[in-house]
Amino acid sequence: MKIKLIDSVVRSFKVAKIFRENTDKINAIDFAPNGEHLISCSEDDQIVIYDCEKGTQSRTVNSKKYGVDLIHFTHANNTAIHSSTKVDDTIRYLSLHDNKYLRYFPGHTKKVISLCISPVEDTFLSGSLDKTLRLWDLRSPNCQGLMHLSGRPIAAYDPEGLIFAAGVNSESIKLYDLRSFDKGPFVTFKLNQEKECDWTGLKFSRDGKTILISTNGSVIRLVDAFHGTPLQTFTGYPNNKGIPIEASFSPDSQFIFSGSTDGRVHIWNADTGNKVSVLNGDHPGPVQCVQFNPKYMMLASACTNMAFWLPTSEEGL
Amino acid sequence: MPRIVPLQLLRCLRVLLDNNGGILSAVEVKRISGLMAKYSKKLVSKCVYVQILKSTKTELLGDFMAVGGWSLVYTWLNDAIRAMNWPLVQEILELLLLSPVDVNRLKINSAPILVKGLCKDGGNEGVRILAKRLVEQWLKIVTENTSMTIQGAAPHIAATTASQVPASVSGAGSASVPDSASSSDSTDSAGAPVTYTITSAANSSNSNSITIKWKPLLDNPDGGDETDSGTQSKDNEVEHLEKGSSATHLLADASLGKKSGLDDSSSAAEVKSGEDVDNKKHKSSKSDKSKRSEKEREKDRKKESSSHRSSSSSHKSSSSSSSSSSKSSSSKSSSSSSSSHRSSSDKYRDKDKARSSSGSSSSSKDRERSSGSSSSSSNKHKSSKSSSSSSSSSSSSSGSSSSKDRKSSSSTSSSSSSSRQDKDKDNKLMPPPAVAASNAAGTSPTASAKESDAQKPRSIPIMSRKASISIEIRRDTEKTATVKTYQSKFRSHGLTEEAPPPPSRKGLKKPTSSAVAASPALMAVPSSLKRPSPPPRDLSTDKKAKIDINNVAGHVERPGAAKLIAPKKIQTLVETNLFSDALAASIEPKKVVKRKRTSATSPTDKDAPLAPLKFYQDTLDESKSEEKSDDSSKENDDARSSSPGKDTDADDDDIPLKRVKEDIEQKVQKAKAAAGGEGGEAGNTSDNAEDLPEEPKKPGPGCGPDGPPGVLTLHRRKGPKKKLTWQSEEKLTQIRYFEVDRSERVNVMKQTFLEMKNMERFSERDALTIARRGFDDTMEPQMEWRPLLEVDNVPDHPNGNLSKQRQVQMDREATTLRALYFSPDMIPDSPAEAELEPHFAHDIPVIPMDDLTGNPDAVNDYSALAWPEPKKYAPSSGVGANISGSDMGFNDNMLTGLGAGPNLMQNPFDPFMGGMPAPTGMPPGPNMMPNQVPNGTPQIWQNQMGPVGGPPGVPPMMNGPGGPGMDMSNMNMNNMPPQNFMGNQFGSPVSPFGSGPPPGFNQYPPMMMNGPGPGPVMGPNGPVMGPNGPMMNGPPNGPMMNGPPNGMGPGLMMGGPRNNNNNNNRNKNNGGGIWRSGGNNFQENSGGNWRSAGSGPNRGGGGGNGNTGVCKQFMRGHCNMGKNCKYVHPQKKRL
Repeated sequence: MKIKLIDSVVRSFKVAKIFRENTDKINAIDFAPNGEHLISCSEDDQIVIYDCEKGTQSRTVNSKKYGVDLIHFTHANNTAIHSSTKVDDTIRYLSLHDNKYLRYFPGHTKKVISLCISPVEDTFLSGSLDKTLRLWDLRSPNCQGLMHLSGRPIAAYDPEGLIFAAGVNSESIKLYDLRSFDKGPFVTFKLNQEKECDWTGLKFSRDGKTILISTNGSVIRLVDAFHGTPLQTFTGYPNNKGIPIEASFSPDSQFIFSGSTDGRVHIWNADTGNKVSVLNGDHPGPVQCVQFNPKYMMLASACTNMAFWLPTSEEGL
Repeated sequence: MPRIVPLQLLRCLRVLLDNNGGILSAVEVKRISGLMAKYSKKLVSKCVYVQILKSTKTELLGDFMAVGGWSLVYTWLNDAIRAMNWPLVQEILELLLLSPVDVNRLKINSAPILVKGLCKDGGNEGVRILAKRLVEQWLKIVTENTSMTIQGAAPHIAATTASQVPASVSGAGSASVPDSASSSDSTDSAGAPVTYTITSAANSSNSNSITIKWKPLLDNPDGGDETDSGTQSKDNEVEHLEKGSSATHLLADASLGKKSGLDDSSSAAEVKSGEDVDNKKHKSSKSDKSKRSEKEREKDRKKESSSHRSSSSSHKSSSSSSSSSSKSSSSKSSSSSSSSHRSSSDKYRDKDKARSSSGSSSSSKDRERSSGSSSSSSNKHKSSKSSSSSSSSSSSSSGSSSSKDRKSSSSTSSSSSSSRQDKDKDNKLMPPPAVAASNAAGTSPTASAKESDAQKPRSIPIMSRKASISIEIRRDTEKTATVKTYQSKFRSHGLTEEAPPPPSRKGLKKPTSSAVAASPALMAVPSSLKRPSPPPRDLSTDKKAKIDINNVAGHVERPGAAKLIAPKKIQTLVETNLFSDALAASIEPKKVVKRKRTSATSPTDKDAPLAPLKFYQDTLDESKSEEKSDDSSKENDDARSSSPGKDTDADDDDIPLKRVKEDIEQKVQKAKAAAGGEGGEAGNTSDNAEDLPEEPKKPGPGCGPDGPPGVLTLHRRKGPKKKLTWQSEEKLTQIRYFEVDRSERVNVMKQTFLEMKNMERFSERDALTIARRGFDDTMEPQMEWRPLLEVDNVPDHPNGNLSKQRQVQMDREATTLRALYFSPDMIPDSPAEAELEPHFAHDIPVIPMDDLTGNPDAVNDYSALAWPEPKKYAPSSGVGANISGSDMGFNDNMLTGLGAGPNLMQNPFDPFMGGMPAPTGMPPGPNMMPNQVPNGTPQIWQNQMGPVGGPPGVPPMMNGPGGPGMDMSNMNMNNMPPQNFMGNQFGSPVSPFGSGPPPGFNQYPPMMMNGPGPGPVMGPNGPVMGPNGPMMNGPPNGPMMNGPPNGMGPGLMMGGPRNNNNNNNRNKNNGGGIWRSGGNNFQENSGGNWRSAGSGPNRGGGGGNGNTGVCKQFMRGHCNMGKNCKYVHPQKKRL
């Protein structure tokens, strides 16, 4: 029994669950590929895992020694990688089964601002304020590839795991073939440079046709993934504190969701560029993380509290 | 054991003893030492044993000490001291004086230390005297050994001694020999009965002298003793040379002494340093007393004068040479030593007692001296003796050349005058020894103390060195006296041969005595000056006494002197030439010493023949110079007190300076040339020493506190207040530099410093608010949890199908227990650390930034293309059938939503009308047209108007009210928007019926549909209209809202109902009909607005409506007010 996402369904989402597990801002969330678990990390150095099927919190571990940010599930069960906010800027591989670190990936010398997992294999990309982009393999603490670039480096894998995109200096996107990245990018999109903000995130749509660019301002850009043609500009959500608000695709690539500093979730139509709805969940703080479940009809948004949204309409049948 | 009877003990030991009561022979030494060690616990035994040892011969006594007697005697002495048995201690000390000692033996135990302590702490006066003598004897032995090791003059000494021996042998056989033998016999007989009857220090000293004299008689055939005496005399000469050397040389000697590693000398030095400390204390106390009152000062001066007198007498003792001299010296030395600890008056009393005691045993000459009881008389004697001694020394030292000078210098060149001088010398030599000997002992501690004081800044070992040298001086003088007396009596030829060496010794000593003689006179003068009335009387009495003494001495001495002079002259003239030549050839350095001495003595030669009046005048001159020096010292004191230094510091500085000056004066008096030089050097060293301590003090008071530099600075001021200030700006500033690439984007937000500052301030304020009041958390679930629904049209996710870590983790979890935490408190702060992996540093492949393949299609440049403009709210999809009931509700909603439109429409016109004069409706028309053209994109506008034609379109706009045909063409241009609009209308009524939602939900979709509805209708014309574009949404609904209440023209009224009817009819029929009716609304409404714009009251009403309309910012998505916003938020109404 599957339901299609249409405007009416998107407008009917309401808060069904509220979790007050954290005492400080949640800075990253990630759904497992099967859509059954959600992991979040917070600036209070806590890692919380939720059961999406039951709508409950299933596990909590601490990492007060190193701090946690940009947490992502890996393909193994009960394992995750995250960057550090203390001691140093090493990326750490954590086993949630026995609450033990499995491996460290040292190399970055400044804050890691970008981290993404290959959807196919055990490699991941990390970008840091030290102006380097590194390619790693979970099985070895040695860096597999190093790229020097200027500005804030951001990166993303395409849904097939064959291509990765790198954002350079908030003005160009370079596409690399993972099998021959030593030859350089096979295509470069030069775009109009942002004047008021920096690019803070890249994401491929699930169908692999478009690339979403998040910023630390009040604008979100949509670019064609094959030709780099600018497609849409999404505005209308406030971000008066310059925080890197995350924008996400719905699994059918039709809608774009984003948080804001007014405590609401803003939704646009990716194809037409029209704003569809603004969901008010009464978040007490800025909503930095918003993601749609990769499989089920469920939305998650987080400020200091975590909120699960469910649709109240089933017109998509 | 029963009580020991001394007589029985002696009977048992008789076998081992000789007739005299001492040990029989070397064979019995071991046996007796063994017996004494075993059976010496009883006091009776100890006493008997000590007496036996004292009666033993010196050689056997040495053997006894070597076998183990030294340790035994030490234990006896230690036990006696502990028991405070002073008589026994005295006996043991006498035994130690008799026993031969060398450096090695002195090192074996701490006997020297015990004896040193007895010098001060002895319970009995006799014990202290014996202890001092013993210390002097042992120091002499130690210093001789050190000097032997230091000096390399042994071969020269041997040569000289060899030369002397044959001369003496050849000269032997004179009548003098039996004379000496008879004299020695008489002394022995005299000594024996004294020892038997009285046990005192004097008797013991007599016995010592007797034994010493006896030895040379016995050993004369062997000749060994003579060689020993010769070596001793040579050593003494070498020591004199050392005295003349500079301070640096003395330092070198001290270091050599240290190198020799003599433990006893070091221990002695330590003891002496202690004594020096005591002396310093006494002097400091004296100085304090002098400051307090003048009377005490006078007393101190008297003491000083007495000390000077004693020192002068000590030097006089050097010239003495008779057995009686030893007796008198011992008795008077004891009296002087005891008196040193008492007041001046006590000193005089003790002296009288000493004289009386010595008188009983001394010769007739001593008695004559004792007749003078007054202090003035004693002073007179001393002064006369000193003058006589100086004259005799000058004559002897000059030799033949000096004798010639005398003849020429003197007024009379006759032999009678020379013979008279010789007679005077002989007569004067006899009386001085008694007084000199007694004073010599008394002055020893003061002399050593003074020398040590002068050398304080240098080092302690040097002080001890100096002290030992001073002791040697006195012993040398005594020995020389003995030697001279002995040889002179025995053989006239021997005396003549040895004439040259004695002159050098006398020269060294007597000049110091003359200097010392001057000091008492100098000291006397200031006291007389200070006292206005007493001085003349004292001076007159002194002068008279001196004159009488001189006359009496001359008369008495003349006949005896004549007899002795003749033979000496003849002998000296003949042999002195040969001997002096030999000395000059063998030893060169001695010549230098002699020259110095002659120069020193020359002024005395000149003074001697001069009248006594001139002599007194010279002394007066010296006293004046001293006064000047005193004045200068006072001035220095005043300067110090006035200086900013501390008072305590000034006091401390004054004392040592005074001491230094006193020491310098004393040295000058003792030895003019050498002493003067040493004094100068001492002064320099003292000055340097004073500078050193002052340097660290200077920075203290005037400078800031020491330590690490701080942030604050303390400004010291006079008074209680203090000032603290911050360090200078430079010290508190830290500058850091950060590198920024030129291509790096900086301050992308383009915020000014003030904006950043305010942002920071606001965020801090918010944080404080949250901390105090907590989160304003009003989040609540809005629905219940439901089973999850899947999303359609989702492509499959690879889900890490190529991942290998998945299997690794599965295997790992199979062998590892899951970490379970049953409560939040049990969760650890951090996960367990990872196992350390070898992290090899290898070259990381670099991912290039540019395409290396050179593909021309690799770059798609859209940098020149602007980002697309953001879109507005999206219309909903889907079309439903129309129902009459829904139409009713829809119509009402549309009316409400559209009602807001006209208000918005009217708002923009108000500013235009207000800005321009509005006499008529026509003038606004032309104004609107030029506004439209520049606001919109020309191309877009032309494209939209293309079908109709540019030129024809413009006129219809101007002639709007009159061109119905043109209106139709406009309707055609807006085909698409109207269709959307109508579609929304039909869609909303279908959805509620289909899903069956509650009535509240029913209203939500219609509001959403109505809100963005007008926008698309005017979409194509938006650019053309510019800022007025959005406001044009109102026109289609204008007449409907304004018609009934306003009562506009009949034309408008007719248009209104017709449009409504058309909408209703066409809605029922098909979409096309709906589209057409929409167009009609737009055209007529816009026209109506233009007409209504002409009237004033209508415009006012429009403005009022605008204030209560929809929130503009919310429509744009920028409204932050939320609930507080005054305007309407459509979303909230939907909710």
